[in-house]
Amino acid sequence: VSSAQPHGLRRRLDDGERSFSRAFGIDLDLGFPVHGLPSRAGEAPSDPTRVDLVEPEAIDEAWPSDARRVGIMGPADEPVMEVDEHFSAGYRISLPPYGRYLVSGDGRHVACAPPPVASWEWQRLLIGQVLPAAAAVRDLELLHASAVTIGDRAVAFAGLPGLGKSSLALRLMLRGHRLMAEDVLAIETRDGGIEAEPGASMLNVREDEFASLTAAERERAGDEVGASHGKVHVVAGRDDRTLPLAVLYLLDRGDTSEPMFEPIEDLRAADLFANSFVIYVHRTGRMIRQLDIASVLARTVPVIRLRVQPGVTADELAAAVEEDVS
Amino acid sequence: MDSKPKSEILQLRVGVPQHVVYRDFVSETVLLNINTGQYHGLNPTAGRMLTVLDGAESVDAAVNQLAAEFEQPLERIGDDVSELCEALLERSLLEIRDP
Repeated sequence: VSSAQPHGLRRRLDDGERSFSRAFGIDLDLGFPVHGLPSRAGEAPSDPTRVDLVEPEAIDEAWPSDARRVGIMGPADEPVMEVDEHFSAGYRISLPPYGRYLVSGDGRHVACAPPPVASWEWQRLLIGQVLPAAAAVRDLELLHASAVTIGDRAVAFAGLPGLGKSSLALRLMLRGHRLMAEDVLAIETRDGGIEAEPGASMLNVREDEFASLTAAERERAGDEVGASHGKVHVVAGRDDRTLPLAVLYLLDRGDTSEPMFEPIEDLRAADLFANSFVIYVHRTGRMIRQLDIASVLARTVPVIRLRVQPGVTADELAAAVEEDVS
Repeated sequence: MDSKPKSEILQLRVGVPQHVVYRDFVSETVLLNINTGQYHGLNPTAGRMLTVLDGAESVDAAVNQLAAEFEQPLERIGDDVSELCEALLERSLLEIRDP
């Protein structure tokens, strides 16, 4: 036990073999395997975010009393996720069924205190909220979007939950394309354009969508790790490449009187900010980068409204997207 | 802030303060006030005015340049730019600088 440990936390639990991965634009030094984050071979990255398991009490012991609540998120009839912020200690993220987590003030350490449930259950929060928070603290811009790669190009789908981002990604995978990120996509500016970074690859597929798959399709989709909240969770293979973002589709509900695809010619900053993820991290560096990235994206990446019309299946939508991209 | 007469505004040298960042979009210019965390949008014409004001020796010089660019009478551009300056100064999105 030493003060050099992340957050000065005592009783770190994972002193075994470590592995390395990359997601949301940051290198990860993991003290335990994480579903949906493929290990990366080779030397240790130079400036990773270190992720450790700790005992639950250690989180509260390390957390200052003068923090403030910056987020309460979740449906009214279920336990909500609470986020507290402290100017130097960082962010504490709590969701009772899935544990308590600390993201350090520089985003370079993450401490996890999960409850005694299956690892895939609490790791859904880790990959869906906690690691994206660490990326946001490290000034990465994140979209609430899933992405697949079609050839050497990243194709992203943003939109509110329930519009079928995951089903669309799944169907595109089954058409031979590769998953890049599920639900959270990090983007960066590079050489005057926008590049998309691989994220986590645990797909959350609606039960009825999953039930409609053949046995062969289920096998191709990936490893089914569990089910919860009407979704089947599948760890899919991931495309590990950082690639130019070729197109961003903004999913919306629509009817057959409107076109399925409509390019947005006069994209406004608000259209992009509305799809930003980890909105409680309001640090100056991140706000400036967010504006920079939104400005470059608006000028260089086609943004297309994709209306999900009634009666159109996810596979039909995937076929239409495939054709639109080509 | 007290309202200034147009003639006085035209003599000023103004610029975007350090706590404000602005970027151009297709149909707007967005200003971020880092101190407040608030975003502000300008239409493309006002966005161009801001860019020219930020690099000009005086508001009057900016008006001359913009009148030529937009092919509009000096008087009209002078009114619009003065009005914009007042609105941005009031919101601390523009600052008065030494000449």
